[in-house]
Amino acid sequence: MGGVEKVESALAAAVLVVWALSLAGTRWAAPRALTGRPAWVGFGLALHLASLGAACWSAGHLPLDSMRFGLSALALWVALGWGWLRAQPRMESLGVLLIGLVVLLFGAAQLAPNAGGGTAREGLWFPAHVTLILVGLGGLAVSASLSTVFLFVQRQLKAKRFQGLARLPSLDVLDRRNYQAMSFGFVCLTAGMAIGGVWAATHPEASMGPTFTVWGTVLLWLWYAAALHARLVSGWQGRLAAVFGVGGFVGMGAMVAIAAVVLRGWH
Amino acid sequence: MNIVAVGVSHHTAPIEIREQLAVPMGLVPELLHRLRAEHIGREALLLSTCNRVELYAVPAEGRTPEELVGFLAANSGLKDRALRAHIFRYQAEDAVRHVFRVASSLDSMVVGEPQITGQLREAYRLATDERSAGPVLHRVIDRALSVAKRVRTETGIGREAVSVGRAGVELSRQVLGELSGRSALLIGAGAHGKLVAKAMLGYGLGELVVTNRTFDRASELAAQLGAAAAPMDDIARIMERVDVVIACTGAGRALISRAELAPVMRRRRLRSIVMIDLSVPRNIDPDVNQIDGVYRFDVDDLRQIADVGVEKRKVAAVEAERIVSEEAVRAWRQLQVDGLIGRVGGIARRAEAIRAAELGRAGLTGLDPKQQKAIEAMTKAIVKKILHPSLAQARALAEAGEVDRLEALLATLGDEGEGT
Repeated sequence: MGGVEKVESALAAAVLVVWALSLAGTRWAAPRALTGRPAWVGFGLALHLASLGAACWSAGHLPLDSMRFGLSALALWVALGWGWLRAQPRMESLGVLLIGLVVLLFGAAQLAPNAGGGTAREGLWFPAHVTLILVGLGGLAVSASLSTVFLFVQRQLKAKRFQGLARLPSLDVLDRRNYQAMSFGFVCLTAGMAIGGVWAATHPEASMGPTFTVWGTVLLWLWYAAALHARLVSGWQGRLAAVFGVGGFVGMGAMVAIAAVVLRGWH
Repeated sequence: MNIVAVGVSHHTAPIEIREQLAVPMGLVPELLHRLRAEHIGREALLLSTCNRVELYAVPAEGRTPEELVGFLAANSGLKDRALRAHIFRYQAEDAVRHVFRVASSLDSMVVGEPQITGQLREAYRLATDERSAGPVLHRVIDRALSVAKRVRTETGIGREAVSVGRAGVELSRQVLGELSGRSALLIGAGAHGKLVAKAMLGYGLGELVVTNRTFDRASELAAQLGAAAAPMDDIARIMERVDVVIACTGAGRALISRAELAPVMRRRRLRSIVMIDLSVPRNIDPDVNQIDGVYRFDVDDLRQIADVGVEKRKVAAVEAERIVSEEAVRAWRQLQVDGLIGRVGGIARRAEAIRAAELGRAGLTGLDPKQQKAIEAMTKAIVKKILHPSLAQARALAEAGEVDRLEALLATLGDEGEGT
């Protein structure tokens, strides 16, 4: 292992430890822990970014088609989503879900194959495609965490179990933030898919046909398009929107897991 | 002399039982009248609120507290056995203490909330108007209201109370977020409903519509709250747009059913609505909670929220309980003394009757009026002088509250106790 790889591995281990400690310091686990404070989250984000930089340095280029890099970048977008939510009142408890997901994605990234498919890397279209897709998936992951908390709070309210609810956001706030995160994720996903489609059509040498992840992403897009359409046209908000958010995330998780474990790559 | 308190409260019975026992205010005088007409109670007062249905009574001669329980059961339509499992019974000093605790809001769902004192005052007014409050209840309730005032002044228990209004606000905010710009419909003019509506207005509620069975009352309340009034028939139409519905009426039945609300929710496009039912019997069918987007809460749910600050209030409640106990002991002793003083008067009256009868038997008709007057005065003076030391001692014991010694003294004077 060369010096650059050693730095990359050390940074990856540090990021994993920092996020794991951040998970242990979330409000539900340890309300006053140092690792639950915004400064710690900022430190984690900086370290995470450095780890991605080290991966680029190690690869000698931006390894956008690498599964490891992709999952790590997705974890960073989810962490940024957590940073956005954390700034809002009574959202601290969502850290359990989002930081948990960050730890899971970053941990999975370390086990995923590092080699890419050798896709052409020239120009801005391919980076734009990958970045938008990953940002979109990050937004949809944030939407899923908000949906999960929405369903939990709603169930507690319906069952008249009020203990601990004061620390969680209201249903209205959860629903509105879910809508924002889902819309943001959907727009990014749409733009990423469109750019990817144009890029594939203009780069026949990349042999980019309709792969499993392409079909999976299209299905995911249709799912979220249906959710947003139903919300805008038929008023499907609240529980129904949350069910869509969780369902979409389960599909997304399955797609990424199959791509990582079975296909050993994004395409 | 005995005083009895029987009934159910939020401590002893779920809302399903309480609502069956609840007596609308308009029917209370009739019930009190029947209680006396059927010779079950000599004095009676009925307190029927969301959280309690309690009967404070002085049973008639030979009647037991169980007969009062039976009367409540017969009035509710509940099976006697089903009710008895939830009924509490207090007698004598314990009954006085209970009334004092209720008046001082120590027995309330939200300890320290002020509404119960007003509700007890209103129940007392009804009992007084119906002439079913006699000397015992007058003394106990008057004292209870004074004790409530003392508790409030000396302990600050009210300052620590999470009010029903605040509890309603908290639950609404858990669903709707901030209340500013939101709208609410208040059905009925009940005290608790008004409190919740007021609290919501304090949290920036944008619009409040008040409706009531009588439109004039709705208009009056709307003017007080700075709200708009609407006729009762418009409820369904108004529910299509408001975010919160607060029901607090004495209708005694469900005004909003699941079947009625389901199409309203479709027209609202599933937009969330909070329904706070403060009525007992309930005005909003509990099944509406199963509709997506509907969040229905009742008084027991508000209690859970109110319990959040219970630890702080417990500190104030300890001092309040001490005051109530001290006052209850004093009041009960005073009630006993009152009864015994009546018996002291009875001894003097009986001695006078004996004197008059013996004088009549002596046959003084042969004497002239002047002589008769002299003998009359002499015998009166003899009786008075014989009784005076004992009666003076009895009065002194009564003033000192020495109930046991007074009882013994009266026995030596030939008093045969209560009921003679």
